[in-house]
Amino acid sequence: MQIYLPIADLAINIFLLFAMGLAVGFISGMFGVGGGFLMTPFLVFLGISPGVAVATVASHITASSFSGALSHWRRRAVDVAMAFLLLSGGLVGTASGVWLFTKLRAIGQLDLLIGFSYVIMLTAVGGLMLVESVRAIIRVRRQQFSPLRRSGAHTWVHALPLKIRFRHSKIYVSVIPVWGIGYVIGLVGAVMGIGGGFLLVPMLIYFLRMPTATVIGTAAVLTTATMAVASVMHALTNHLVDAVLALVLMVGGVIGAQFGARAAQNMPPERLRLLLALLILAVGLRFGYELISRPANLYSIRAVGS
Amino acid sequence: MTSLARLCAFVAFLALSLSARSEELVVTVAPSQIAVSSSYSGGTVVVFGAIVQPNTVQPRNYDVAVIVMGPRQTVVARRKGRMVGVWINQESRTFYNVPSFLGVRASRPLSEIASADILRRQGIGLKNVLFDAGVSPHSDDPFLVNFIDIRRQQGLFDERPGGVTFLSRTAFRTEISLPDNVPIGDYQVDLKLFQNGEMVGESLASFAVAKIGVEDLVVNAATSHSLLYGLTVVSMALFTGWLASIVFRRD
Repeated sequence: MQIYLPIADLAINIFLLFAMGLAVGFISGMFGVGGGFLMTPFLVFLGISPGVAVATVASHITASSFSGALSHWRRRAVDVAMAFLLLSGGLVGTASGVWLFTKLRAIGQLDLLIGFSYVIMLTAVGGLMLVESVRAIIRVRRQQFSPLRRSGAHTWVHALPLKIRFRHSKIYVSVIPVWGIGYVIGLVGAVMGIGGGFLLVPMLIYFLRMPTATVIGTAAVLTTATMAVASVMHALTNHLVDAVLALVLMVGGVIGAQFGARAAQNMPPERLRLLLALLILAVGLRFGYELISRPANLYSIRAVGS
Repeated sequence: MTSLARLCAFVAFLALSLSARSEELVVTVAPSQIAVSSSYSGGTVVVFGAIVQPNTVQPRNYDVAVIVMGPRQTVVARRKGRMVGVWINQESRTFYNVPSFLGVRASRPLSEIASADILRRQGIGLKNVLFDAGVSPHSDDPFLVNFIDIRRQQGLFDERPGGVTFLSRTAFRTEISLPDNVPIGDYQVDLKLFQNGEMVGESLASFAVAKIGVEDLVVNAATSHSLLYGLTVVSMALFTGWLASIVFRRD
């Protein structure tokens, strides 16, 4: 059954969209990420313009991450102080991101920038996670358990001034890297149409040495807030948020996320990280291949106004 | 088929009543509005026409060309080139004021209807319509050729010689199918009548493609109440997320 999408201006099979929402939701629930890095390219592949895809996926991620944030909140796995500080950086980052997005769309190099960002970020994060998770699996095989947080394992991040104690996460770090991480996530999310969860989670763990217990819940709260703001800003500046498309995707997404979260509970965390690493790496390499291989059609057209 | 019968009757009535002074074309387009609702996945417009002859004693053979043009827009065509191993957009060409939809129908292959010069001057044929819009000095310009090719693949440009069928010597009909990504707005239907390679008559008609119901509401809200619209979408997202966490709660 086809459904006509009012802002995207084309008809797409509603079951296909719903199934994609379910599948991406499953992955996002399983790994605690938004899944925008899968959803946005998929929508573009279906023929939806990148602008509409990016703007609409923001609201889809709002729904699935809010659903996740609520269940983490009930388990008291959210560091509220950390979330607020990240958010203050995230909001400024989102605003700059939406502004940058509008500028780039005008000069016609948006696709290139989005393509490059995907390749660099996905392959870098995917590669690092792959190495880390393979090492963890080997350690588990050899029955050696080494805690992620070792006493005295401080980096340059911990030497920065303006330190604050985050009681819930039991860490003592400067507000500068926290605010900076928030800013980067907000910026990247608005430009690329992704929640940035796959970037945020490793950043919080490896830079701030935050315990895994509070990372996922805090990340979900931050993602909900930045993506909600990004949705409103995209609606205000570009008028490209498709409410009908968003609704179909988010209903599938929240249901899939619940099943994904349950599937994840029966799997060792290091194997979960390995799977996520492979997935991220595969998407990154796919984008890289697209940039360097000769396109099927060298020409592209875009209407710039009526 | 009752509407078709009524249309034929209407056309026949006009053809009889207008006892003509010179060749005249009578045209009707059905439907006059294509409604784009949430179930829209393509539509068809039927163009009926009748030729009113100056003297009905000797019936003549006519040729007809029908050009359907959607709302005009400005389009940028870009060509990718290789730079440091990466394919990026390089040269571009802007086409101003070109139809967003273009359907060309004729009773015979265009080259048999009139000379290339007349076709170009009258703007008949995909390239000629764009040429008429002052787009490009060369009809084999690669940007123009690829622009037309891409629009064809999207189902937005379509040329079918032989797409016009004569129901009698003086009455004809043709169909224009609109794709699911049809541009919204007013469409112009231009009919041109030929005889022995000369243009002997012309007539204009129009129809509209408009969003109705929910589709219209959403577009209106998104453009003229964008803050409220954005907040509504976010509330919808938060509500959906909350509902899922309640429904699937296990304690």
